[in-house]
Amino acid sequence: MVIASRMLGSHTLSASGAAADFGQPAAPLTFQELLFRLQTFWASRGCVLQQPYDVEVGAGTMAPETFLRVLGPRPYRIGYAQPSRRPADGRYGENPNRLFKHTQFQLILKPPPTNVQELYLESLAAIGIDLRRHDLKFEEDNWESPTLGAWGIGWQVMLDGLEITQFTYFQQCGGIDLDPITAEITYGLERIAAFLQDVDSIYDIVWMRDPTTGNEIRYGDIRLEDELHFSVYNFEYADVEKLWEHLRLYEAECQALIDGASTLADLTDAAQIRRYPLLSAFDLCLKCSHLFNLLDARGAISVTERVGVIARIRALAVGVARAYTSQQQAAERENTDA
Amino acid sequence: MPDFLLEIGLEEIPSRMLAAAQKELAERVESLLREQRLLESSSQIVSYSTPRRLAALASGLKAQQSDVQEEVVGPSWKIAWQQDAFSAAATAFARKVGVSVDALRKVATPKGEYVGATVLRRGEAASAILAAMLPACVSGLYWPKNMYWREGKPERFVRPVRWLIAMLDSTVIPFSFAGQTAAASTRGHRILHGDEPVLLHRATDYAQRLREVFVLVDPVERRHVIRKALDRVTRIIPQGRWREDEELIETVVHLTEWPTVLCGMFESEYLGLPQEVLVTVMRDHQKFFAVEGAGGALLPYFLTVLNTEVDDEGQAIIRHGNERVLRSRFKDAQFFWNADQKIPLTERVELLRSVTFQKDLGSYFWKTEQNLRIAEVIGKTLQSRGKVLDHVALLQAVLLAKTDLTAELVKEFTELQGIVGGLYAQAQGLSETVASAIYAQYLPASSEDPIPQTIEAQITGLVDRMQTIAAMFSIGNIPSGSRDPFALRRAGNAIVRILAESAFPLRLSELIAATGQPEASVALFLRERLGFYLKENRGFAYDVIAAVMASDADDVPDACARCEALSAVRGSTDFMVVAAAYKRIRNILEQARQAGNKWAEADDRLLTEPEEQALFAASARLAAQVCELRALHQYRQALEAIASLAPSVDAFFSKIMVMTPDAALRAARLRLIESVLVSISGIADFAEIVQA
Repeated sequence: MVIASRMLGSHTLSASGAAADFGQPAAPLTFQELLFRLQTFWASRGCVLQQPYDVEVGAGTMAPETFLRVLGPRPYRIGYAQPSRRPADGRYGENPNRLFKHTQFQLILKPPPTNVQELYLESLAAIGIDLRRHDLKFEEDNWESPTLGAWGIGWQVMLDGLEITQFTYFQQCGGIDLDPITAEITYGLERIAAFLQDVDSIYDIVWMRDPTTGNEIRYGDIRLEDELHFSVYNFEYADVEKLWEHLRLYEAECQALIDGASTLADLTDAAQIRRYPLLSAFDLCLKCSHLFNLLDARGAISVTERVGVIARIRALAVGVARAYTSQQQAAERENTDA
Repeated sequence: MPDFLLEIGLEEIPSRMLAAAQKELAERVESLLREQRLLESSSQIVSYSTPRRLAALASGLKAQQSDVQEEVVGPSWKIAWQQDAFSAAATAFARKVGVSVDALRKVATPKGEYVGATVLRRGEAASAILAAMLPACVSGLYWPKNMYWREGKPERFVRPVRWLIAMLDSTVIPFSFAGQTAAASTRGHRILHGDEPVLLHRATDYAQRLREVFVLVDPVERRHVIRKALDRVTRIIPQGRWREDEELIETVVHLTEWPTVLCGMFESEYLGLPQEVLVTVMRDHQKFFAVEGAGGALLPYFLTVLNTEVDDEGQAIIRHGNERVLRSRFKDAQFFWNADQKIPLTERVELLRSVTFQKDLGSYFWKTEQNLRIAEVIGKTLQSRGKVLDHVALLQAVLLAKTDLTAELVKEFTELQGIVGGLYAQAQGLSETVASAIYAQYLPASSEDPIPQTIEAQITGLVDRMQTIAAMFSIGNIPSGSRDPFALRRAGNAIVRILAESAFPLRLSELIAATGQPEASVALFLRERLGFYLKENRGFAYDVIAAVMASDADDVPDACARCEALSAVRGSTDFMVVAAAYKRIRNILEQARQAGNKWAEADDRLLTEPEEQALFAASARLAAQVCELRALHQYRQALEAIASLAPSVDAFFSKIMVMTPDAALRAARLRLIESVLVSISGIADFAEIVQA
């Protein structure tokens, strides 16, 4: 089995080995096995594996491992599962298909290898999908996030009529044109698990099966309470005034850090430049984004205000992206000069 | 006679772009070959496309451009020929163009005498020309949306290019584009063939070779295969037939390389949902074809077009997967339908306060109030002009028209706005007139759609769009160039079509006035829309439209009738004589007016010439006749009557000089021709008519 370390940024990845490593499983994968398989598959293709980001985000794209890493010239490959919170989608655990918090397996390939689609198809084989007995289509679906100042070109991948993956070639992020381009592959884990296990409700997904006793623990056993409590909080208890206040506080702090970054270009000491806390500024921006989602779920934002608040958060995301890019460039320059 | 094959291999191209791209590639290849003199008269070009490739095959080409004789000119004769011999300059010129000095001769040009020679230009080999020209040929393809993918962003294209083929017979033409170098190898179907490269031996093997690796490269063939398969698979359903859907066929043709069709089922309990909802879910969300029974009612089946071919077990798996997705979508729709019934439409009017129409204008509640005001005026006006309509039902429809925007089902399936409102109105026991007006209010949504059937629905749609346009214009949201974010042009087109096809006795200016915002820009905008309708929907000639609209562009059905009449008579010689005379009279009067002539008080008794008297009589007769026919909107007859004036007009102008020195006589003649002008005016401005 080939798990040799591969150079980040090499353009082609070996496509061999997949079938041998991941034979057809006898029983459909449990939820956690699904994640293991994806992680193992992509790790063996030279990807860093990372744990979920520990600040609330609406999608894996928003985690700094994507948002900030796609900026600038440095090649990067990473995969991580990202619990993604969308307060307005909460249904108190009563709807079998909708969740307040779902899990994305987020994969970033920067730059994309030329066989990126073939690799993706191999990853499906690795999770037990025998494509000779399924119908697969790449259908146009271009992704855009106004709050992040980001957009890309790509597809939704349809498997037997079900959208299982969002496949995007990032073109712009934080208002900055990207070069190199990054390929982002986002697997919807709950959907895929429900599909593999053929269950009608997400809550019936087998999360794990005890190898000794065969006892099963289901998605609902682990997540249902979570869905209920957060739906209740997001829709009923969240204090609108305080949420607005939090939003203002985080926004002000984030903006102050962005403003402070404007002097970085004047610094000559690479170490001085490098230590300026823009990653922290980005966390504050994520906080604002989540607070916006909470206010939205609470019905506290009128349609008129909505556009304005989105613009405010976008300004933060764009501000951090710009400052971070200049910081990287300045540090690089001073390093080279030194 | 070599054959040339070009294939561009790509990651999946959006289905909506494929047909146009295939056509454009064929055109670009053809014009390249034509410009490079590589086409024989018998050459043929065919093109192909699948989601992963675009291709063109040109057969029977010239292998080599033919040689051409070219005349070249060198230095002036004075410099070239000195002391009875060719000079050094002439010798240098001969060497440069590759002829012997003996072949030089004197040539006369407009600029004087020069030394010249006839040079034989050898034609270049097709392969060399293609190698040089193909990069530009391919990179110039137009795509509605492009992307970058390579480092340094050297090119933009619709999706990453993954391989290229350029072959002349069995020889590869060396060319590179987007990081790929042309070779003789292509790819087969992703799954059925796999990643193994597929070698081509000859350009003409292309379609057959790809068929062997599960790719039907010709969309025409795929369309045929899909239609046949839909028919065949539907046969197992008693009484069943798949619902024809040309647009959906086009989509699946361009989503597949190796199409097969599979039939699935859903629980018949979902047939309780309105078929509009079922079809939208199947068609728009899942790209499924609906199946209907003998009476047109839906049956609990669907057909899906796969991009693969599988064994029985595979079919069972894929069917199950598709049924699972459809069931969960139907379940959602059912849930929303039931939940929505808890708040009837009449109670939803208040909820519209929190739905923004436009942030600087107001909510849909505000818009509904505006719509009601306009509907009140328009409904009453039409009634007073003899149109039969239920005014109370109209106002109720307008009041409730937007309430379905608060329904969960519409939030989920936005394309069903209006339709859902209509269905809810029906389910909630409102009158059929109200329900159908709400249901059809957004018709026509495109130029293929019909206008709504009932007068109440026509007015509901008319009023809503007119309010939108007037309100958007009032805050400066005016369409310009390609910018029309609120689709106001489409709204304007719908207004004109409803007025034209319902033949409402209602002028555009009255409609605009009813909004309370009678801005000149709105009038101008609708006038443009009328011109667009007459040209694009009705196909009238531009001069006919200009003539009719110059006369009056406020009454839509009337403008249509005048266009029809004018188009009918436009070809006749007599009419063209009168049209020419019309222009001439106008010019004469204009010049006379500028020269200070006055003729209002002129004495008709001075008109003694027979041609003058004949025209005078004919004009007087005509004036009364045209006036009457015009009042009856019998424009065809009116224009024919006008054309009958031709002989007397012709005789008059060939015999009589209007601008005679005798001032009194001149005034009388001016008065005469002005009366002619008046009698034939009011239908169209004939000066706009282009003489053949």
